Amino acid sequence: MGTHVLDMKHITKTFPGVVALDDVSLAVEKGAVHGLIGENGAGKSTLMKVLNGVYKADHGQLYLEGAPLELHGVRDAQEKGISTIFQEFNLINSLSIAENIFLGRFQGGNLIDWKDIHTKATNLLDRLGLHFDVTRIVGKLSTAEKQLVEIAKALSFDAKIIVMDEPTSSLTSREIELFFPIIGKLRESGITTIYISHKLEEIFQICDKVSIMRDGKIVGESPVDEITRDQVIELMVGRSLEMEYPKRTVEPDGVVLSVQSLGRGNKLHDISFELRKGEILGIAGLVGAGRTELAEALFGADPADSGEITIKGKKVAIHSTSQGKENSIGMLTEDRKETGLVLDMSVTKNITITKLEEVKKGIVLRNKAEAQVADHFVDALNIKTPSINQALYNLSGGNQQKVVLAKWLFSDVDILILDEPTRGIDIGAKYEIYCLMNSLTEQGKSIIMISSELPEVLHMSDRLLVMHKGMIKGELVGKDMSADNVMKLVIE
Amino acid sequence: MDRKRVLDIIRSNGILIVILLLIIVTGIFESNFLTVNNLLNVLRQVSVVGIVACGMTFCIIGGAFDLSVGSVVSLAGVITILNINAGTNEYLAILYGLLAGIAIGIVNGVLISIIHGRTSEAFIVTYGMQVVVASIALFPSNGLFISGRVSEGFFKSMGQGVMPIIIFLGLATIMQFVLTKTPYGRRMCFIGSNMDVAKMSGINVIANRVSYFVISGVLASLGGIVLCSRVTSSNPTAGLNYEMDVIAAVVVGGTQLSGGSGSVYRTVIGAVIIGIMSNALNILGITAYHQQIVKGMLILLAVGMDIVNKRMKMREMTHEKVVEE
Amino acid sequence: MKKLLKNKQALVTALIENAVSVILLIFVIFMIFTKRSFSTWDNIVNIINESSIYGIAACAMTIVIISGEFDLSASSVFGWSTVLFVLTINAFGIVAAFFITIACGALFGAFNGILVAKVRMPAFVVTLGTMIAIKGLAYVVTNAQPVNTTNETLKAIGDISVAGISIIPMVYLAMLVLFIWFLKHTRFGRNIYATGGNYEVARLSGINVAFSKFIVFTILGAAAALAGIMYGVRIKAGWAPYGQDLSLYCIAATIIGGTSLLGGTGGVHKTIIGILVLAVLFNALTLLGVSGSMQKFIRGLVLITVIMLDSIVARRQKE
Repeated sequence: MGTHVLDMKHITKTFPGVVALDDVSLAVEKGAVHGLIGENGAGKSTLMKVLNGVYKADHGQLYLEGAPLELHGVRDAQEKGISTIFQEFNLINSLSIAENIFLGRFQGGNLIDWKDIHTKATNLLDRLGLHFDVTRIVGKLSTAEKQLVEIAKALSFDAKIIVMDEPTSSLTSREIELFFPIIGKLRESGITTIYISHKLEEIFQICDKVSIMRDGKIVGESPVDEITRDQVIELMVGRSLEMEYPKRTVEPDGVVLSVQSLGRGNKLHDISFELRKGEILGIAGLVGAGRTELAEALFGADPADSGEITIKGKKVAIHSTSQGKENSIGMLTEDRKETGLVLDMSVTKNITITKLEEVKKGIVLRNKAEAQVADHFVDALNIKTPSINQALYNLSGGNQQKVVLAKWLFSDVDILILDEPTRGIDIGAKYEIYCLMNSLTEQGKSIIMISSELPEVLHMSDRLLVMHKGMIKGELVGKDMSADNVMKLVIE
Repeated sequence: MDRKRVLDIIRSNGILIVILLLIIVTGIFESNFLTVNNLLNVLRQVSVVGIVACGMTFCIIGGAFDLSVGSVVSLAGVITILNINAGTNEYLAILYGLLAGIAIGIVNGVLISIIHGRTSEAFIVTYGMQVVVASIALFPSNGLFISGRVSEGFFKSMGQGVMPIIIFLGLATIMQFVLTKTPYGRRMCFIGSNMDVAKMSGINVIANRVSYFVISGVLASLGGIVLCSRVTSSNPTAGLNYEMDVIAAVVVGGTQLSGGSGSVYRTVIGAVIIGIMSNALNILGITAYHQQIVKGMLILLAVGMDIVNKRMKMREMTHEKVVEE
Repeated sequence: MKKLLKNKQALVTALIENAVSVILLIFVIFMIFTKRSFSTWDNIVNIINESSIYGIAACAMTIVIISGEFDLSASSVFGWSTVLFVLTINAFGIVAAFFITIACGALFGAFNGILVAKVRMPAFVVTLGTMIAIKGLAYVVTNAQPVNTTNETLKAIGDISVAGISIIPMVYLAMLVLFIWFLKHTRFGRNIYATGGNYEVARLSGINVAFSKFIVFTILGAAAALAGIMYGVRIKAGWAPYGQDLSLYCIAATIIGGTSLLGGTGGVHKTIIGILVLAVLFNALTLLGVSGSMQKFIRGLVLITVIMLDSIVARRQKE
């Protein structure tokens, strides 16, 4: 108790329809590197946002060095000694390193003492063992270097705690090697690091203690040298007993899609695979592995610049989403709110947009036909809305998701790519969606399912591709499909 | 609930209400004002701006903005009159004028698509086109009026009597129908609301957007041709500052500049109301230049209210309670 | 292999960014050899004197663009200011006229600033509206006629000439120094860069972003007024349509100089090149006997080309 720099007690946070944090208690020791691990959606981000002042917990209390802590926003948290390094950096690309570190905090009135600022910035970087030219423009730095600038910025706030959110997700292995000593330097300075990551190996390599989250709770906590990797994985993934998955009854047959050496810039490298009729092909991997990029290349949203796509034996060119749809490919995007729905428009209009030809007669859209379509899907997917003419922003998040799903079901495409299809949907509705996926395949459609929820992707896929850093690391079938094997392929 | 609805209606139609009041007041004080003859005259005068404004409406609903319309009006007139004077068949002359509008629309559309239509840059590109096209219109006659040797026929009839009004209202009706009842119109609303969502729904956003510029261009040239027909001459700077009137008509009519929704009928009302307002101001002795000030302020007022309106709506919509605003 | 590709990309980007300067150089050399009258001292002085007028406004336009916005109404403020300056000289004398005109310009700018920064209306619409309204105002007050003055002091100022260079370039120079210092060494100046670079990040860092956006419009209003005054010094007259192409000219000059429309980068010192390019270009065109409408055509073309290039370069940098 006396050496705890941070105490989070009984933190609960709910959003409409979802309990993000469920009575979470976390104690962090001073000077430690404390790891926080869990799958996507486990609650790590939410917990972090409570810690850095973006969210206010519904219940519970924070304690900093024994004293109760009230936070009023990110800047307030920074000034009280808690700095967070986000995945999307809080840097202004057009300004220099020194200026970014001291952004908005130029001391001493209106005139700027550049010499002073540059000296201070250089000193901060020295503490980390770095020797950058602080007049360099941040926009020209590599991702790794930008991250180090963020850490220097945290130091400039005299941070007691630095929270790092997936710090190595965009780093090369070489850069990661150079990154770890920095954490060591922080430890030497008595600064506490909270290290949030997916990556087991890293947690085991540099953390002293690890807390495991799942479904908004902390399900396990242990010093790193008193727990095994397998135990951690089990705790991360373990809700196998609670979830029911419908049985897959379709025998996939005949190749509908064949991809050869697909590549795009430095995001996709030499991707080759096949998709069969009636099949659910799962794609697993970490955030940043390139799964969404692959989906976008297939759909035409961000076309590949090399490689071939063959559909039902014919080579096709997919350079736009309209071409993708013409080739009977559809895509349910990961970020429904941004790219899946027009919130101002009604449920009906959002659903029918993918196949307007179905609800028209001649050149005129038929209201009745559209209403029938909307009613059908509201029924089939159990969408809760007062009316089909209701503007989407009035619906809850989960129901909005269902509308997006309905839109693509209506499109009747042969190949449907689902990017995190059940994210943000409650358990009961998830089952409905899995059943829908099954019935789609029974009708002869094929599904590519991208998911970060291992149980889901393990149970629903006929075959599983594992991606990492833009490449397909391996393919798992049948009995080989297990969380362990997936992790093994990902963490090399 | 009732009070809220009333406030809502006032908020979304504020400008119209103000102008309506102005018209009523003028009508009371000037007996000549609200006569059928006068109003028909006004309608005829408004028709050219109205035709162009219809095209602009499509553009705005589709999330684009075409500032080059003024100069297209001038150019189309110049091309048509020159051809007629040279003896070309009048139908062909009209066609050439329209083709100019189509061509410019295609150029606009392509340029904007290359830069992925990011708003501020898109505006300046069409503004630059305005300058370019305006100068092209000046070439043939070196800036002078070209008087047209126009005999009775289709071309002449376009500008006389109720023809301009019929063309204007007829177009508006067709366009409103396309907007509200066809897949093309539905896609336009999607693209204007959120280009990314439209793209991710499999819509060919680029092709559609180019078509909006083409429509805007061709209607601008149609307006220019009707204008020429009325005065049977071509003024190479006829369309100078036309954008002001056109945008004012759209904005006062209530179509939001942010795109995604709107109505051609509203633009018709906006154009007519502004026309009547100008007429009323003229009768009251307020000159064209004063009117220009008013038009400028009108645009600001209409857009300002639209923005405030939207912000209040957004506040009602927030689901998540976040500490930081 | 990757390094070669990266170098090639960097080369292409550098070429595009400096394309304008390169073209200018080629053009200048071409002109020196084709037209005697181009490289005379008289002509050079002419270019310097002429370009300084718009240059004064361009400094301030650059600042607005750095903050992430732009302003179409500067043209009308210019024209209005020529009118106001002459009228107030005749009524109150030159000193009062100077202050009144600048204050008025600043006020117009502030109006733009409030609508953009506080009400959060798009700068495009706001400045379009004020452009129309202010021009109308200028027409109304003068009944569309030009106005003149025979003020002796004004004439004396206008006659100041050092080796042919009038007072205007000197004012321009003073402004340049002031603005360059302001942008580099004051907190306000740096805040403008931050605001334009990333509005949200700047805001979260405690910077008063609304104020930054507000102040740049106010400064531009005052600068456009000053530019109008300088024009009045030169021709001792005022007329509503003067300066119609000012806004586009200044925006083009800023972008040609290397400041991106997206904001957050660039600087007033860069815009000098843009002004020079345009001034030399149009001086050359006039000497070559190119007609007014053709010059207008080229002006529009230059603007479009420059915007397209800026956009393409900006996107390449993002990747």
